[in-house]
Amino acid sequence: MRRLHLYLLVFLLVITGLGIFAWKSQVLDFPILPSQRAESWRFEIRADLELDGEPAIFSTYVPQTQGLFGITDETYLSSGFGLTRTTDDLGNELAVWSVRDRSGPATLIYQADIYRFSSAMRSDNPDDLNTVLEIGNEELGATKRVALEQFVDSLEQGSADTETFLAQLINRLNAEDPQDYEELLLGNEGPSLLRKSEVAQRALRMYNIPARAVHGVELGDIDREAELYHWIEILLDGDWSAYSLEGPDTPLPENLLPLWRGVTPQMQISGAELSNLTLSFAEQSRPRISLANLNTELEDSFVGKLTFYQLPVDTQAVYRLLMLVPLGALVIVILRQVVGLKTFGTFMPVLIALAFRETELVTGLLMFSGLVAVGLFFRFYFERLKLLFVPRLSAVLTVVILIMAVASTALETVRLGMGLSIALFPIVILAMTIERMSIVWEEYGPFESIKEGLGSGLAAVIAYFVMNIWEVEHLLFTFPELLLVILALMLLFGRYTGYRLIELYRFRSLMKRKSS
Amino acid sequence: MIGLARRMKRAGLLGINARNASYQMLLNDRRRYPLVDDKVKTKRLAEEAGLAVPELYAVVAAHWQVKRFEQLLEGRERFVIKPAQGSQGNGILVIDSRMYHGWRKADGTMITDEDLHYHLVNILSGMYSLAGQPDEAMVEYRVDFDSVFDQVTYQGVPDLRVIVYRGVPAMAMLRLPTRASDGKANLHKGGVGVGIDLTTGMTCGGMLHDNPIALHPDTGHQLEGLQVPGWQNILRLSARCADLTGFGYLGVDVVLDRKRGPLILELNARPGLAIQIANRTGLELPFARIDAMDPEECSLEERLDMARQLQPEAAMESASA
Repeated sequence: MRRLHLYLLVFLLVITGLGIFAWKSQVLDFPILPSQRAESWRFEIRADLELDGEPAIFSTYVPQTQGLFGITDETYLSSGFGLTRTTDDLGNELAVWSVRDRSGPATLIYQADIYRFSSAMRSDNPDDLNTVLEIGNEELGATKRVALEQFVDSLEQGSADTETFLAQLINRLNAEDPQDYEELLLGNEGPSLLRKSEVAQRALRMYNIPARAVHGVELGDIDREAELYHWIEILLDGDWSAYSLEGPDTPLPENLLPLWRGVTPQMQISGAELSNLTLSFAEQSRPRISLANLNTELEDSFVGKLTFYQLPVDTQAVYRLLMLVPLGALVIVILRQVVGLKTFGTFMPVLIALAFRETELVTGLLMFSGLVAVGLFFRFYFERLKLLFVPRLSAVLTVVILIMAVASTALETVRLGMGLSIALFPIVILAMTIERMSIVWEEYGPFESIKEGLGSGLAAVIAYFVMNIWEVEHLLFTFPELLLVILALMLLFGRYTGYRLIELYRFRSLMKRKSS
Repeated sequence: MIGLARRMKRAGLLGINARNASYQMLLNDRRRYPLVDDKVKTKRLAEEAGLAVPELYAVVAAHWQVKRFEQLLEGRERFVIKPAQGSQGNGILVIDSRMYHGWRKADGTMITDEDLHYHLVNILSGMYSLAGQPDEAMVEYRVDFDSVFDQVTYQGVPDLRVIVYRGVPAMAMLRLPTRASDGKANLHKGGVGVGIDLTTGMTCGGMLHDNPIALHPDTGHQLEGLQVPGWQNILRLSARCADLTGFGYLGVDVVLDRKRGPLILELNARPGLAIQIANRTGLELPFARIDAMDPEECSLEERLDMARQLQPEAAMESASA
């Protein structure tokens, strides 16, 4: 019964810990390895205007967090202009700059960081379906309207359902031998993708398929003058799916960042001349955790928000260290329960190991043994003065701090920055260790005392090596829920009734007799 | 290595993890630990039940009593000072006689009054207690130990350790001081452990520092084949200690006084595992046999019979060895 209870508890802890871990790493894009980077770009829209004193308005589409892409750190450079952000009927985001009276050239800049999620998180909301269908083809002229009807008729005859209609459509848009009505719609030679996307949207809507032309940028390494790319999205089974218009079965390029949807022009301007409109982007290296933070914000995930990355930096540093302590404790559990190593004080080696992380191993070991040796010397000296227990312990503590102070200042003059590191040793624990070591020394002799001292040192070094793995530190700091798994392991070791490794050695003489 | 562990398991050898998790924690009620951890309490409990213990002369519980130490003693010159909550024989001072401004220790060396007072003060401040908490010093009768083990003893007091499992004595050993152990019978300090046949009270086997030996390292005398006097009495005393304290897994330390016979020295709720090496057999073998017999339902005499019948197997082990 007790066993079952324990195993259930362990199972629950492991499931919870690993579950949160999986959710955070797979869905929220928290980085498992510290070296993991996010796919990210700096994106810029730049408009050069020529103003002549009239009230002027300029608006253009800007990207929004959607599908595979998340947008952060948007900035606008537009001195003297008023800026408003609006959303149009189709859900496109617009930046609108306006100015009352100004002459001469002006430059408007929009910049943003763009992150690519590992999976499309925010599916588009098909709520705007009604508006999509309402916006028809009314603004088309009569001739074009007739041509479009002919076009749709011919496509309808050659197709059976939505998919074949779409295939037909894309085929005809890229046909070598355009019919008259097709030429009328697309222009005589080499119709642009923009044109194709417009015609595709109109034709599909006439056929009563919810569709929208999409205009955006293909993100790559770097491009100072990026060209717009155009494709089509249709609503199939409640989801918008995208298709290339360059030919049937042509795959869409990767990393397509949509800017706006519909058949409206990229920008609108009044009261001024547009001399230049450029889109540009450059790939940038960003730690994966900024992507995770963005994801958390977008998902409004409670689990994701429980992260140390939200804390002030100096508090973060504390938790980086603190998260490692349970791991060190687990190492001690294994060393003591399974191996049977003897140490002074249960968790003293963990604290020493934490200090080693700051001092580096060799210097740390030297400092540690030096402090213990000098401390022991003074402990024995005080012993001869017949001091009482607590005052003697305090005296040893004071001497240890004095030695540390002297060593710190001395080391500081020799090597910069070394001075501080020594102060990180847990002095109280060190003083207790010295006291316990000297008692063992008196009661059991120097051999036993040094043996246990070395055991503590060895445990500290092993704990240091485990806790000093950068990936491990990152993992525990980024996924503190893994502590639940460590806790589960500790609970399991709590009921470990097997032999310790040193017992195999201790009882070996009995087994020799048995087997002979 | 796994194979070795498996063979050890088959031989019934008890490891520390299993001792703690499967026996000590399940059979020994934590709330009763003070009964055995505080030797003054143990002694009073045993005295009330009419069990033989070394007589308690005085308890030094506060610093002001240290200066009045001699008045407390009422002129006695042979005594032992122990920390009431000490463990593993730490902080025990054995005094033989009064000297001018000082005392002669059992090993023949002298200490001054000041040294003795300092020792008492150290005990009071908890230097020898389990977790460093303030302690009391108890002064008790110095056992005039039986001479039967003189040939296998180098100074100090030999004592007997009986493991009582669920009220049934399950294994026993004789612990002998050596030169290296500084007159103490503690095995990890270099004392010799010798197994005892539960049925007869005859010694068998022998160990030093976890290794089997046949001769005492200082006296060179054969360890096997010694008869422990009053053995049945010792078994009964041990089983009664378990009844008295309610521990299901108990170590009872008994010392043999020349005139007073077996005396209970102290009880231990966390008895060590070296007794297995001394007896050359695992503890889980007798434990399993006792478990099969429902000892809680049996009278004291029935349980002692049980203990005497445990032996054939262990005797066979030592015979074949």
